[in-house]
Amino acid sequence: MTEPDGASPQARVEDLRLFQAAARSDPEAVRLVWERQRRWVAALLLAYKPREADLEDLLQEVAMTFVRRVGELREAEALKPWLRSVAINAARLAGRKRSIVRRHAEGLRLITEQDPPIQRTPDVVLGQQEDARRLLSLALTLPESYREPLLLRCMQGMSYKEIGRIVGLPETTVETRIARGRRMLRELASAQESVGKPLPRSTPGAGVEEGKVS
Amino acid sequence: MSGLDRDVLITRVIDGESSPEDWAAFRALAERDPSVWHELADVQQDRAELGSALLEAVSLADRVEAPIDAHAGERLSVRVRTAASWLGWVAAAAVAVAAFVDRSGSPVGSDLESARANLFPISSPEDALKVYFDKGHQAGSVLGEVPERLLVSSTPSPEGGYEVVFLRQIVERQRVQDFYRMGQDEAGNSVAVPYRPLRASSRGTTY
Repeated sequence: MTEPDGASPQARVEDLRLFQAAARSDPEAVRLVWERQRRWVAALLLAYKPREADLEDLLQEVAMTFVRRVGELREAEALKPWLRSVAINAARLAGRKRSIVRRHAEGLRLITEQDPPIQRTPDVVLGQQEDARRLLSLALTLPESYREPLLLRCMQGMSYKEIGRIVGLPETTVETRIARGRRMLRELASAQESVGKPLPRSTPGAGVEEGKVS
Repeated sequence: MSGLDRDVLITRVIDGESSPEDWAAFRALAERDPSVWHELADVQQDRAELGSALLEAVSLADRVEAPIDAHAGERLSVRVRTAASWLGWVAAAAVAVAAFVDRSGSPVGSDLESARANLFPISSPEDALKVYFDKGHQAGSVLGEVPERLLVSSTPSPEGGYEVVFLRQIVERQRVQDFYRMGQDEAGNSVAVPYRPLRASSRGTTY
């Protein structure tokens, strides 16, 4: 089911059979369908989750919902849009929980010392890899409507058409948002390069730091 | 060509979604403005870097398996809870039977004639049930009826509609000296077997 729209008819039939078996709660099919979906679901969670939320925890929540409710789905076409809404709900719920905790912690925060400086040793700052992570952190600061299609497009084999089906938008809108998102990302990266700014630390959607996804 | 059109064209080219017309348009643009090649290279590099960072970030997804066993455990515990609630009723029925049966196995107060003599004319099962509830409330032995009725079966009726068979659950209270449950002796005869609740306490045991 991660195959692009150009997937062979044989692959499509195989996907359909697998989905139907999963919908009948066949354990092996459920396992296989999840394995084919989990990476892009993780990318989607990354696009929506608050910075502090743990990506793996959220993915496990989505996996549990998937296993519990995949049997309720009737159409294979509905799988990805449904998984998207499950993932977004999980990410937003995590955001609400965090904001409640944050409100209660504000008083305590006032009396704590300033955050210690981030340790940056030469072996941590690894040229290209670091640039890539920096770019991902920047991408996570883009508005939701741009960062979601942009990240989904980075997942192997997802065409504009397929992304459109998942997010419920026309293909042309997806294409425009990806193009515009890339432009915004390039401008952000150029602006940071020109002032030699370090990694963004307090971004609304960002969750990547020092090569680790929080 | 607007900035957005230019961005869309570049995006199509690097995503491999461009048509021959798009390529022609791109070449024409590059002839007029060679800087578009640099732009293409930058966006291509961003795409590759973003892709590799994202791949690294989501690689943890491979550790997250579908929790099929946990879900099976959940379903089992739901079934066990359902069965337990039924077993509770079975146990209650067994207690009621045990309370009604003395140690020798004969019904307590089996003087049916005298029991009949205490009844007054009843015209319908509902009347009988109402009398039962009223009397039971007065005596403190009938606490009420569980509002939910359990559907046992439903079949289309020849007269139209459906014929449904359901279970009504009535909660009673009785004082008993001992617990018994129905068992079988070596010959396969039903006998009342003394039974002690597992966790008898002053607060009681709920089935």
